[in-house]
This record gives sequence, C-alpha cells and structure tokens, in this order.
Amino acid sequence: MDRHVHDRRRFLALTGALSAAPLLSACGAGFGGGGQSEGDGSAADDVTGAFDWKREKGTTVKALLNKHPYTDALIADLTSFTDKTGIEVTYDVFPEDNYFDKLTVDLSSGRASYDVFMLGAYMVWQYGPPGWLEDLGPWMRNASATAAEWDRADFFPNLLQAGQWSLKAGAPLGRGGQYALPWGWETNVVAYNTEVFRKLGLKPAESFEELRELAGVIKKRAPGAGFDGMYGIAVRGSRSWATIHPGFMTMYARNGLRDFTVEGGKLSPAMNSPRAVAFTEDWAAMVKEGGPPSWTSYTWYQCSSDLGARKAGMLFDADTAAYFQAVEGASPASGKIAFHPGPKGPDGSLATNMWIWSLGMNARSRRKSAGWLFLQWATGKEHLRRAALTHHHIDPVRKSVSQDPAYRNRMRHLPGFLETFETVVDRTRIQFTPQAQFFDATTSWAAALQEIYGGKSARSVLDGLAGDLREKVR
Amino acid sequence: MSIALRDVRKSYGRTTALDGLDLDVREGEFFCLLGPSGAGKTTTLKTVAGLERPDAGTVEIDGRDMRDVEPYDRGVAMCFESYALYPHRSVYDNLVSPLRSPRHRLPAAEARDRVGAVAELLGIGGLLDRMPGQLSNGQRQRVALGRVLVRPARAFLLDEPLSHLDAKLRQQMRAELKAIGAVRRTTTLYVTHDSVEALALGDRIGVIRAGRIVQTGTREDIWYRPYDTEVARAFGRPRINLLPGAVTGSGTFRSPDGALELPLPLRVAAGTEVLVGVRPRDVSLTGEGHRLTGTVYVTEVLGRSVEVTVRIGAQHLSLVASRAEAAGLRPDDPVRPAVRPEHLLVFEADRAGVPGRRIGTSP
Amino acid sequence: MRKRLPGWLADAALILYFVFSLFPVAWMAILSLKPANQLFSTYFSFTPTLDAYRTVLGGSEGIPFVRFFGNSLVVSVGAVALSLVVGLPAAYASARWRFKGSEHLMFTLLSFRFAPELTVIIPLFVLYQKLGLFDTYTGMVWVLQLVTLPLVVWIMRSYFADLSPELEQAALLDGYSRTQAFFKVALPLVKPGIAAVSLLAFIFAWNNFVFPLILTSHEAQTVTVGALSFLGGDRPKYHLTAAAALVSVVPPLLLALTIQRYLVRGLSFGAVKS
Repeated sequence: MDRHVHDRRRFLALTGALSAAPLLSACGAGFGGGGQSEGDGSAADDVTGAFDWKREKGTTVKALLNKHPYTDALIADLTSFTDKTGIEVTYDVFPEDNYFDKLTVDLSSGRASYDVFMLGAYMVWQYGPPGWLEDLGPWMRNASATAAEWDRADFFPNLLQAGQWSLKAGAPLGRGGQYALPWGWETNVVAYNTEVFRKLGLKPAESFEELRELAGVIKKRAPGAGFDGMYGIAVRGSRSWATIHPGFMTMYARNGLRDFTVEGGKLSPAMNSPRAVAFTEDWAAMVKEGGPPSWTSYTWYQCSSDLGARKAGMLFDADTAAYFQAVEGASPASGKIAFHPGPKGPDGSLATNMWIWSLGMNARSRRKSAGWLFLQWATGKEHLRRAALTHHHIDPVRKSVSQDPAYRNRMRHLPGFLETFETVVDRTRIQFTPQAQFFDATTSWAAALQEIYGGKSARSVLDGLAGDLREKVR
Repeated sequence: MSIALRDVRKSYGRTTALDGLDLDVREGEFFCLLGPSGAGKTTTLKTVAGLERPDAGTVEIDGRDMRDVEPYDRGVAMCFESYALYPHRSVYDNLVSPLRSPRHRLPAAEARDRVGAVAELLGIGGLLDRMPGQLSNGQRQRVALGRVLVRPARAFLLDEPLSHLDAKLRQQMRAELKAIGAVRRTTTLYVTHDSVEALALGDRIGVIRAGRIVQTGTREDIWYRPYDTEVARAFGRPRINLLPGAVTGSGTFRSPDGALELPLPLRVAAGTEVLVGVRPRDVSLTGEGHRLTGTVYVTEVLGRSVEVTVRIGAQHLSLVASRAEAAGLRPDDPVRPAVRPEHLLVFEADRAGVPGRRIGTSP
Repeated sequence: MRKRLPGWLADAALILYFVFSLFPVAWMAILSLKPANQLFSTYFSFTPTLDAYRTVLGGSEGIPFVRFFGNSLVVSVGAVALSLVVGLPAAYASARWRFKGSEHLMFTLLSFRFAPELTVIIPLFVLYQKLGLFDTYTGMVWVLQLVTLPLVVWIMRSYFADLSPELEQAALLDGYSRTQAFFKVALPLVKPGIAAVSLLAFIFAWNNFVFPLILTSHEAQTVTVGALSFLGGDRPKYHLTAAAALVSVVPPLLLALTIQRYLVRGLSFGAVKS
C-alpha cells in the first residue's frame, strides 16, 4: 500500500488492526492469559535432568527473520545447529519494510506460526504487555535447559538489561522478565569522511557547538575543495519514529535530557523542558546550516548512502550504518571513513542510545524447548564468533567476541572503529523511558522536529507535543 | 393464430404502463394498435411476446394461456422499433440468426436459400456483407423486417417499423408491407402512432390511451363512430371541427354566442352541453345541406384542394373545397357553407382531462 | 468555440508531458543499469551494466525473484479469470434485473473496496491459517477477489446497462435461450469492456501489496513483496530494486499492448452503443 515510505525499521504499528484483537479472542483465536508470570508455571520448569543439545532431536523450529547481514550469517551457519541438535529450522525472511507488519499480525493473531523471531528491544514495550513474548528468564536460569557454555555473564550487561522489563510503563529496564536476547547491536556515533577532513584541516567535534559549526563549515567549503555537492552532516529527518532514536536521542541524552520523567509511577513528558527546547532548536539549526537539502525525507538509507557517496562529510547515526559503507568495495568512500564517539555533553557525558537486534520467543509456541535451544545457539559464542569473522555480524553483543584478536584484527583497518566502540560501550544503553506508546510518541516527536525545522517556534511545538503525549501515555 | 389480452396490468415502479388492457386480435388479421407515445403500445407488444411479464391479467395465444411460456416458445416474431440488429454481425448473420437457433434451425444450405429469398423480396440482396452500422435507416428497417420474415411464425409483432423513415420511403414501405404474402396471411399486431398508417394498413384498429384500449373497430367504425372526441381528433387531416355549444329546447344545437345553429341528427336532452363534430371534407361551399353564414378567415392550399377556414361568430369552421370552388375567395368574403345533419357527430362536452364521449347508439 | 492551440505549441506541450510522465520510469531504468558503487555518485554518466538484472533474475542475493514473478502471474491471472467467470454473469444480472435486495448486494460488493485492507487483514490472517489457505495460490486468488471482483462487477454492470436489452430480446425471439442470448449477443458486445476491466483488474491484482505481505510467506509470495527484499538490511540496493521493479512492469505492459485496440474503445465508458 504505502510502499513509498522506505523507512528503516518503519514500524507500521498496526494499531487499528490490533484493536481488532479482542474480537479475535471472541472467535476462538485469542491469546492465553497474558503469558506466564515470572518463574511461575513456565514451560522451562518441565526441562529437568542434565543439559543435552540433542534433547529435542527431530523437532522443527519455525523462525521469522528480517533481511539483514546478521540473518545472512545465521542462515549460512544453520547446518551446524542442525548437526549439533538434530533440530531442523525453517524460516521466512522479509525485508525490513514489511518485517514488523508481518510479525505484529502474526503475534496479535495468536496463531504461533513462528516459534522464534527477530525484534528490536523497543518492540518488547509493545509486544510484552499483551503477553505475546515468552519470558526467557526461567529458561536461562534452568541449568537443565541451558548449557553452561552459554555464559550469560559474557554479554555486555547493558544489552541483556535492555530486554528485561517488568511490563509496567515507566518502570526501568533491567528488572522483570527477559523478553528478548541481544543478538547484534548498533551504537550511535559520528563517522566522517577522512578526505574532506584532511583537505580542509578539520578535526572531529568534541562538543555539540563544535559539531554544529563543523557541519556548516563543510557545507560551505567542501564543494569548493573538490567535493561536489557535499554537505556537513547526515542525520535522519523523516516523519518516523526511527528519526529520533539514533543521533538525536544520543545527543539529547548527552545533554542530560530525558524524554519522560517518572513520578510515583506516572509518566510526564519532558521534551518541552527549557533545556530540551533549547537543544532541539540547536539541532534543527545544525540541520539547516549543515544538513542535507531534503532532510525531511531522510532515513537510514539516505543518510548512510550519502556518506558512502561522498555527499555527506559526517554521519551521526548507527556505527553499522557507516560500517556497511566503509567495508572494502561497498561505496566510493570505502577506506575513507573514520569513526569518532561524537560530541560530549556539557558535563562531558558520552551517554549513547542504541538499537539492539534481538531474538525472542512466541509465548504461544508449542516447541519452546527446541526454540530455546535455537536461541541459545544463535546467541552463543560459537555462532556469534563465526558470524562476526566470516560475515558482517557486528557490533558483537558478547565481550568475548569483541575482544577476540581475530575480530579486532578484522576491524583494525577502519580508523577509530574499535576505539570508538570501546569508548562508548559502557555508556550505551536505551535512553528512552519504556512505555507501550513508544512508536506513537517518537513518531509525533519526529513530526515536531520537522515543524521546528520548518521555522515554527520550538517552544510552542514541543509544548503541544508534550500536551498530546500526556494524554496518550497515561 | 389469435391473440387475446385480458385485463392486463403492468407497471414500472410508480409508472403504470398497462391499466387493465383488453385486446383481441383475430386469426390472420392485420391489427393496428394506435396511440400516442407512452400509451403502452410497446409494452403491449412485449407482453404478447413474453418479454415483459404482466403484473396481472392473462395473455392467450390461440386460446392458450401464455403465462410462464418463454418468448422462444411462443412462436411469434417481433420487429423492434429500434430494429435491434446485432451490431457485431453482418446483415447476412442477422438475417440467418433465427435459422441457426435451436428452435428454428435449418441446414446451412436451406437457410442460405431462405435468407436469399427474403433479402430479394425486401431488396436488400446486395447488402448481405455489410455491417448494420453501415446501413441507412431504411435499409436497417428492411433487415429488421427480414429477420422477422425469414423464419416461420404464427404471428408478427411489428413495433413502429416505419417511424424512422422519411415520408416518401414510409409511403412506399407501407404499400410493400401489405403486399408481402407472408404478412397478408399471418396474424399481425402492428403498433403505430400514425393514424394515416393505421387507417391504411389495419384490417382493424385498436386505439390505446394511458394503458387502456379506448376503441376497437374497423376503419369505418373508427371514422364514422369514434368513441370520443379524442379518437375523432386522432383521425383525419385537416382535423375534425368540434364546435362547442348547447342543445336548445327545440332539439337543435346553438353556439354560445348564438351565431351558429344546427339541426341535430338525434335527440339530445335540452340544455346538454355538447361538442358537435363535422369533418372538413363533409362541409361544402356548394353542396346540399343546412346552410350557415360566415366570412372567410383564411385559406390554405392542400395540393388539389383548398382548406377554407370560415368564421361564424366567435367560432371557426374548417372545410375542404376544390380549387375551382375556392378560387377568388379572399379573407372576409361572405360565404354560406352547407352541412348535412347526417354527417354530424354529437359528443358530450370535454371535461378536465376526460374527452367527451360520442352521444348515440354504440357502433 | 474553443480556440485551437497552434500546432507547435500543442506538440511542445505533449513532449513536455511525455518527458514529465516518463521521467520516473527512465530514472528507474538508469538506476537499474548502474553498478553498485556508482549508484549515488552519478546521474547520467556511468558505466552501464546488466549486473543488477543478472543478480535479480539469477537469484544470487538469496531471493528467488523469478519464482515470485511466476507466483504473481499465477495469482493475478487466476484472480482475474475467476472474477470474470463470476463477475460477468453477476454484472449482467444486476444490470438487467432488479430483484429484492439486488441493490444491497451490489453495494455490499462495492463496500469491499471502501474498507482499507488493513482493517480486515488480521481476521483474514486467522481464517487463512485455520483453513490452510495461508501461503497458497488458492488463498491468494481468493483474497484478490476482494480487489478484482467489485471492479469487474461494477464496471461491467455499466457496460451491460448501456447495452439495449432489445438486442437480447431479439435473440430470445429468434429462438435462442436466455443463456445463449447472453453468450451470443450481450457478451460479444461488451468485449471492449471486458478487455479494459481485465487489464485494470490484472494491474490491481498484480500491484496488491498488503494481502500477499500478510497472507503469504514463502511459497506464494509475489513480486510486490519480493522486490522490496532487494533494499537490503545493510545498504540500500536501489539498482536491484529498480531492476526488479522494471522486470515486474513487463506483464501489465505486455497485456496493455496486446489488447490496446480494445482499450481505446473500452476505457471510454458507454462507447458500445450501436
């Protein structure tokens, strides 16, 4: 229908369709009683005895996957899973533009056509409360179900926490059920074109004021210095939730700003606080002075390909967005892209927002034990190491992989990549307040950003946004 | 084959097309159904053909009730006012269509001969390869008629077949139609709005108005004993004179201004408001009869004769005179036209929407 | 009276419009001929290559585009054929006879087009899963009726309504049955309409996105959903998407060209009067 919206992770929250869900339960296709409460009555408790990879031999697990380099790496390695467990995996792969539509419909219908699937950590906030996601905590804690070599301590703790939630709006992450396991992730930093920086004698910005100035300087001077049509900085700008979470949210958090404040379990929008208004104004000004000409249509695709096509001097987005342009032969800018943690906040903060491609299990799956073996394997050391070395499964969610000499060796040719990663990794976490209206709220936020960019008063636009959201998130 | 309709009613939504129509068409007769457009003529034909199902009443063919008999089982052939030629088929294919149908199938060679003979008869033998779109109206009409004649039929239903033709062609076709043997021998129900056509063709004529038959009869019946003023007006050109007035105590007719007084051929109660009808050809300038006094109002030449309109008091009276008689007449010249009482038709006065009925013994 | 434009001005306007309307297509063609590394850095001067087509048609990205293409053909042709078989008699009946509830029936049929597909997709998904129609040709052909059948019935109804009923009545009196009158007289006369509506229905079925997206997964997936897979999760591969899109334009285009002579008449409604 609306195929013109090519947003990365466009999340057509099928809200209208979801409201039909109660009707479905009326006709017998509804969901169970909202999943299990923690540890109590989990199917994981049925698994006893010594751990055995072959426990579910002969079972078939069905997976729904998004078209992605991680997926390519997984599919290439599937035979080793089947060899190890005797479990067959069948899978459907959908392009990202439709992936979440597909997943949402499937989950909301309560049909359990897929046992396991990919999801983002933010999706837990939407899929968790209706009870569509299996709490993986009991599985992880059960030594009969989980191999010792899985080693949960090997995950970066902030990533594991991002999938833990008590399903209550405003409650912090890292407590409650484990609704998703980290699989591959992205931290949001600045990547830049080393050629233009060298030619114009520039250095990466350490503060936001510098970044803004730098973007303007590149836009003004680069075209005259042999970089035809180059502008300063690529950031997302389309009217989509995905515009907020990379560069914008990272810089927002580094300024010590919050999306919501939580008091006594009640959420209250904070994007119109005086400092937030001032920052948002500055961000819009930066885009005007040094951003792309048709910024309001900018998604992951436009941003990253502009960096690759030597049209953008800098990119403030996921490190992987730049990585896929930087690898040899991928783009005209390959070999000329360097990484930097990006500007610090006024107090030196390098708080960073992230995106985690995670794996989850359908609460209504009838093959949970086999599904868990699959999740265990897919997030295990063996596969993730292979995927990172032979494919492009980065950033690694496991410390062991990120410190693996072979991996480091492979990444070394990208200037600043490993250093940047190590600088921000401990300060990277989900900077949003968990709540089910996340996609709605951030889409409105992106719309507000566009209005401010269009010249409206940031104060009144953000006040209006906060007023709207106050009603919605209650 | 005889056709009989008994108290047939048919309406389309709120429009009543047939309002208790009764009609008898006798075996072998050429019956003309005459009426203005919208009177229900086409509906009557289609009801007989079985294309329209009556809401009430019965249609009988040869005494057999036709309810639930499909059109193709009624054995009637119909020529539509629109001709209804198949635009995607050649003239030949149009003509041969009935002979290829399951009901009237003939071996191809026989069918070809039959089509050839009919086309010859209608003078369209040279058009067989054409498409209907390439034909003139007159040619299309002949093809439509040919499609009716090519097949065996117990009755022909012809819906204004000549109405789209120009005057000359119409006259010629009218003559030809009656000359066709099949038409002469077969019961034919012919619909027209043209009274001249009805008088020329019909063995009997039915006058239809607002979904009912007003009068049925031979042309003499209709001409000399019209049911009401409207039937009288419908036939004859120039139109019949209808003079308003009242019956006097002595049984004569007098116009409201007293300028015109006529003896009546029958007794009517004194004081009755009436219309006295006399056809222009029955009034003469020189002949015998009751003399009236008036002045010439206007004269109009009609071929060999002249229509003279005479002013008598406030009334106008049309008459047809020979050219010799009318020679030298100028407006305002005094004249004394003569009327024979036996030519007078006496009608009740028209009331709002209801034409006055003829007074006298019914035909 | 309208004044006629001078000839050269009309030509210029036409050429301008031609360029305007063909530009997106030309742009796609250009994109599809670019090598991956010149995708974003060039406009018109690049080294043209058929690599994108080779990749798309060769399935080397792990996307069985040719099979998707075949699926699209099967379900679109199937949907149009079924719609014609069911829809032509329905359109004829509704144009010729008013029976109790006929207007309601027609309206109900039309109302399928009012409802956004998204509002019915979840119930359909559940039904399809239960009935085993999910991801099957039968299921796709069936669900596409929601799109193509109302189109066929409503457009063909106006064609039949424009046709004088006296033609079929003449056939009845010629000795043909009602069925024969439909097939021998009415149907041949609405051929231009059938051509036009078939093309339209085919395009609608071919272009449908939401139904195949939700109601198929692997076996019966169509090009509309499949072509997007080329966008990739890492980098946008617009040259592949463009090549896939251009390849998938071919069937509707061929169809339009084949039935062009009917289309000219058929697309102007009511042009069938004799």
